[in-house]
Amino acid sequence: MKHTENIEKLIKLFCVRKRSAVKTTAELDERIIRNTVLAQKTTKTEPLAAMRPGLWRMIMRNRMTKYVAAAVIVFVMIIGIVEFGKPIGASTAFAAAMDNIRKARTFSCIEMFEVSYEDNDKSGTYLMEQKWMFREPDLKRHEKLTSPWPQYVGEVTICNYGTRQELSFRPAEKTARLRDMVYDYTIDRKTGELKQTQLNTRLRDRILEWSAGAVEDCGNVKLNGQTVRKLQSRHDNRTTTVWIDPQTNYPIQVEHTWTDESRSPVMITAIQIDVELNYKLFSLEAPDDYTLSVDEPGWPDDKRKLMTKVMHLGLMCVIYAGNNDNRFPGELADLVTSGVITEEALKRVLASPNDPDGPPVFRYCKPDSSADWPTEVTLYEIYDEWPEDGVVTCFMDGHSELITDQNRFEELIK
Amino acid sequence: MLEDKLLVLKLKRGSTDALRRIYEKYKDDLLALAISLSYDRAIAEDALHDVFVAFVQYAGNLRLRTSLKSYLSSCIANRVRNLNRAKMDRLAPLSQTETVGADCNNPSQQAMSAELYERIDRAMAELPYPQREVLVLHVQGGMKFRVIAQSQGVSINTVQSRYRYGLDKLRSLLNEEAEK
Repeated sequence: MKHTENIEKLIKLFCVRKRSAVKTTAELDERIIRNTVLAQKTTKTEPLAAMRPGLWRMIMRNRMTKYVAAAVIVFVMIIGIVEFGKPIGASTAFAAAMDNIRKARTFSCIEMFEVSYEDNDKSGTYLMEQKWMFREPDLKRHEKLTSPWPQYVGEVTICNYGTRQELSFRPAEKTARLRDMVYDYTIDRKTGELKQTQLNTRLRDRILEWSAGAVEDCGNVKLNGQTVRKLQSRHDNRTTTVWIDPQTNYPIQVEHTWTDESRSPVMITAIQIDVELNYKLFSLEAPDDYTLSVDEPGWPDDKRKLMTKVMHLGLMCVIYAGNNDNRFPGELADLVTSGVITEEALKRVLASPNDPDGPPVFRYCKPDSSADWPTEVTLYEIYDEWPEDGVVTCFMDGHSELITDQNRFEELIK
Repeated sequence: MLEDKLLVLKLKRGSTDALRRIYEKYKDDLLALAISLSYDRAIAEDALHDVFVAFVQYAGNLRLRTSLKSYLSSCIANRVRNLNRAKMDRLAPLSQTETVGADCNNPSQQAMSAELYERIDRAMAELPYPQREVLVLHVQGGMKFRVIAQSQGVSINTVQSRYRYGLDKLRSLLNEEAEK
């Protein structure tokens, strides 16, 4: 018998068989765990930190992601949020100046940091550059300046929270997409109230906080030919450097570096505060030679509301697990006792969007911490008869799906 | 993938549970990989042990550029290479290598006869080590050529050539046996 054909297939079969036949022994497991735990204890580690609300973005992206890279990118941003979220001691005078800037109505900057990416046929790291702009109270523009995937380079997304429409277009493909944001919801963390998404000015606000906290004067330096004032602050494992325009006292560049050199520095540059941003930059009209498509809303509005609620609960459970060595709450009330959410907020999130003071509309199933996070159900919409348009379901990793196939759903919650 | 990122984050912060979870998740695959590379269970177990101890010690500086599984697989390959170097020509007789029991009940396993399995096993053992390493890491470890190239410090063309030559060699070895 010759094996000139399908040798690759044969080897794969051989490897599958070989792999499935090998198991570690209890003695080996015990030896390795004992020695690794010992090594861990003698190795300096960072203190266990609570997972912060920034996880929300990661979870959100994870639901929609087709590329693992997106999750990785969000992950890097979360690290930033976790670290940056801590209050920094402020110089009173400088803080006062910053406070004035907070009243600025426009903002733009370019954010850069290194991220890793991976999909089916390529992987590596690249310098992610993205431009952010907003004009209060309701206009936002985001430009993707770099991407490992050519079709995404230069992609622009414009949101108008007033008209509740989003336009995105890709110069590489000459395509544009218009989406209705009427059904985009978010949960107020303090109150648990469901509300429509609105313009987020957090990036500007953080830059101002960092700038206000940088009180170590490094003197005047040249930046792109301009004489600027350089300030620094050191906080835990992070050094923040701020370059200030002496004429306006506005920050024009901020850089974060870490004592852990393996962590990518984050640079925010070309900062412009209260500079006129033309309304044309926020136009919801696609460029002339682009092919425009309009996204249909898809899911019913009530399901979208439920999905927003269930993902918020899923996130709270992930935060709880992060604080408790991966163990999920025994019941949702544990979220309250551990301080992850207030009792009032939990009650409101659990209630129907149409009856905020009503009974819970979700059922919680405590998952085992060793379960497969993306496929293990933690929460689902309570129903008497199988709803025609499906059941909103949340999984251990916080992503949510509208499951229309009853058999699949029943299999999942077995 | 996301779960792995969370686990690594927790591990960096000293979570023993995260360490156990990572070990439980990948131990069998990694041990099988090490056995396929070394053809020696003792070396394979040592490699698994050393890799996890080192992984924990350097977790604080760990910066994953690939999946966690690929990263650990690369570590196993490197460790096995070093251990093999230290015990040159220590390839165990085939009778002592890891073999599959007769009680396999997986359909894909049943699809291959014990005789054929042994012939492939012998042929694999005869492959030059660099070729076997690439074959095992790609087919059994599920690693991409690019990642293998990075971990071995060679070009992707070299890795692809080794893979191709490895397959050709296996093909000829199996044909020779069939003609005997």
